[in-house]
Amino acid sequence: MGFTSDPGFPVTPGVFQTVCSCTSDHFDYFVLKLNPDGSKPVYSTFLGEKRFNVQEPTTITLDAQGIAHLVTRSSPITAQVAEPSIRIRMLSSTGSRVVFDRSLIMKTAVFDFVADGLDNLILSGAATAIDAPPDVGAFQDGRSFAAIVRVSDGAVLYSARLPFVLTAAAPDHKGGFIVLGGLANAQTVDDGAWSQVRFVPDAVSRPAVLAISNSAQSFLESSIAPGEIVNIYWTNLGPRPTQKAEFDAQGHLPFTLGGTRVEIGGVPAALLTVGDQEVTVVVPFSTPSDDSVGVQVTANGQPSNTAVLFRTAAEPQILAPALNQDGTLNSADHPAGGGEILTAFINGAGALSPTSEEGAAGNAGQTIVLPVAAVASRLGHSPQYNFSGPAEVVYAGAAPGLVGVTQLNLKLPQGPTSPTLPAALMVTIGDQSTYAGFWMRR
Amino acid sequence: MFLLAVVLIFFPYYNVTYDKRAVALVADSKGNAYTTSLSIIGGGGLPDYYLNKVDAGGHLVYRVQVNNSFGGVAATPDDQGNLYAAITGYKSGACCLIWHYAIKLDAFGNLVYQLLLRLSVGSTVSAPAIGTDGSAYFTGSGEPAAPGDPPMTTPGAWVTDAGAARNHENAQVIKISPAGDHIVYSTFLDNAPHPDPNGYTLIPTPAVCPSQWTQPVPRMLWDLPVIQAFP
Repeated sequence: MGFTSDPGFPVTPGVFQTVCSCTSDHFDYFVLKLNPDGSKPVYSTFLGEKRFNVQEPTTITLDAQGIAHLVTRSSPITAQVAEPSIRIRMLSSTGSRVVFDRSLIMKTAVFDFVADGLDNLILSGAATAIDAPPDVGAFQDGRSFAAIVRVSDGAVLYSARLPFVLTAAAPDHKGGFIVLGGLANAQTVDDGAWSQVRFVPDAVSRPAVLAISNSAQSFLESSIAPGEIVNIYWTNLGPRPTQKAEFDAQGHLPFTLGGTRVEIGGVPAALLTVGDQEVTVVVPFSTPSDDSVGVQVTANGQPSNTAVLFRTAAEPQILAPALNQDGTLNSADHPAGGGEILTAFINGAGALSPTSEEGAAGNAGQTIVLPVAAVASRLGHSPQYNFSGPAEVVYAGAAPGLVGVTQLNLKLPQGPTSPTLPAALMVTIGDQSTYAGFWMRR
Repeated sequence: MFLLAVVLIFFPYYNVTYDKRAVALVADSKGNAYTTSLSIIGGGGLPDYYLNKVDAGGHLVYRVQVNNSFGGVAATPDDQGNLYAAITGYKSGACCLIWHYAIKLDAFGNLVYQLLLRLSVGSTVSAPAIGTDGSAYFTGSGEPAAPGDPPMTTPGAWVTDAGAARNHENAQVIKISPAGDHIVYSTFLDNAPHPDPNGYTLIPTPAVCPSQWTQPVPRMLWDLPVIQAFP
C-alpha cells in the first residue's frame, strides 16, 4: 500500500480503481500485490481517494482469504475531511472490489491506531480524542486513553483512561493489548522512566496497581522514600465511595480501612484515604532499605499485582503554598521579605531522628536525617530583578501534628531591589532536589 | 473486563542524558513485546537506538543497542520470535553519509544477518513485512542509481528501469531470503517520480545496494548490553 502523485502509476485491468485521483499536489493511495518472484503484479489498483496529506499512519494486513484490510487516518489538516477519522476498507483478493468501507469519527487528531488482524483496532492517544467514556470498572481519570474498537460495526469493546503519556499501543494477539507510556506529566518525557503494561481480559475484578505518585504533585514516580505520602492508582483498590482515615484513640492512622490494606516492602502502610481507583498511604519508615520495594494492595482479601519501585532515601516535593513569618499564606498579596523566615512543607524528606511511629503524627524535635540545603533565587531577568542566595535552614524536621510531612524553616536571603516578584525555592535533601515558586518582596 | 497483568518495565540509561524515550511497540503472536527506545548521551549529539524484547510475563529477554542509528529503527517480529528491523545510521568511516541497514535477530537477540542498504538521504525507515517462511520485505523510496552505481533491481524483476527521474524518490520493494544470504527479488514499482510506498507491507524504507547485500558490514553496529529487567 502506498501513495503516488503519478497518474501513470501502473495498474492492472479489472481492478477497483484504474484512474488516479491525484494531481501534481494531491496524492492517491495505491494497493499493489506482487507475485512470489517479483516479476509482475497480481493486481495494482488506486483507491480513488484524493489526499493533500498522506503522511498519516496506515496499516494493511492480509487475512487468510487474501482480503487486504486497509486502515487509513484522516486529520483536520486534510482538506477533504472536516473531522479526524479512521477509515477501514477491505479489498477483495483480486483487487477488484472494496467489500467493506467504514469510517470512525474521532474528536481530535491526537490519537493513533493499530489493527490486530482479527477485526479489532487498538486505539490510543490523548483522552480528549475519543467520545467513548471509560468502561465501568476501568480507570476513569487520566490524560491518555486506550480502547478496543471492533471494525465491522464500530463497537467500542473496551475503553479506559491511563495516567501516563502514551507513546504506543499494540495488540498482544491474545485478546489483550500492550501500551508503552512515560511516567511524567508532560507530553515529552525526559526522565527515562517508561512503563510497559500489558492488559489481558479477565472475568474477575481483582485489585491492580499501575502507577504511584508523590501526593504533593501529579507526576508519576519510579521511586519512593520512607515516610513519603504516595497515591496508588488503578482499579478495584478499595471501596466506593472513597473513605477517609481517622486517628484512633492512641493517635494512629489505620492499617486496614474499608477492607483495603497496603504493604510496601512487606511492611503495612498507614492509610489516609482508600477508594476504588486511588489509595493514599504513608510509606513506612521501616520499609526495607533494599534497592527496590514492592507495593501491593489487598482489597477485600484479594491481593493485587506487586508494583516494584526503586527505594530512595528521599523523594522530596514541596507542598504549596508556604507560610510567611507572620503566619499568613505566602502569595502575591502576602510576599515574604528578605531576611524573614519562610516555612515550607515537604513530602518525602526521608527518615527522621528519632524515628517516627508508623502512622503517628510527627513531633517537634524529630529532625530530618539527611543533609538539607535551600536556595532562593530569581534569575534570567534584568539585573535589578535578579537575586540568588542560600536560605539558612533554621529548622528541618517533623511538622508537629502532621503525618508524613516535614517542615523547613528557612531564613531567606536578601531579595530583589524591586517590589514584589515571583521567585524560586530549591530545596535539596540528600541528593534529591525539589523546586517551588513563592513570592518575595524587597 | 480487563485487568492489569504486568507492570513497570523501566529503561534506565547510563550516564547523563537529556532525552530518552521508548518510541515504538509491536507484539508477536506469543505476547512478546518489542520496543524501540532511544537515548542521547551527554546532552547532545545523535541518539542511540535500542531494540528491547519483553516476554509475555514482562521479563526482559534482551536489549540490543544499535549505535549511530540516529534516523530511527523500525521492526517487525515473526511468529518464531525473530525480529527484523530497518535502521538508519551513519556508515562507518563516512560520517556524512546516511545509510540504511536491515538486520534480523533471533528469539534471543543474536544476530542472524545484517545487510547494508543503499544510500538514501531523507528517507525514513519503517517496519518490514515478514513472510511465513521468514522472508523479509523491505520497501522504500530511493533515488535511482547514478551511472556507475551497482544495479538496484534483480534480473527479471517487474520494473528494472527507474527512469530518468533522478532527484526524485522511486518506490522499491526488496525481498530478502530467510537467512539473508540472497535477494529473492528487487523491483521498482514505477519509473516515474513520486510513488511512495506507505503502510504495513509497503512502508517507506530505503533501497538496497545489491553489490553489498551478501557482505556483512565490516563494523559491528552494536554491542549487546543485556540489562536485566527491573526488578
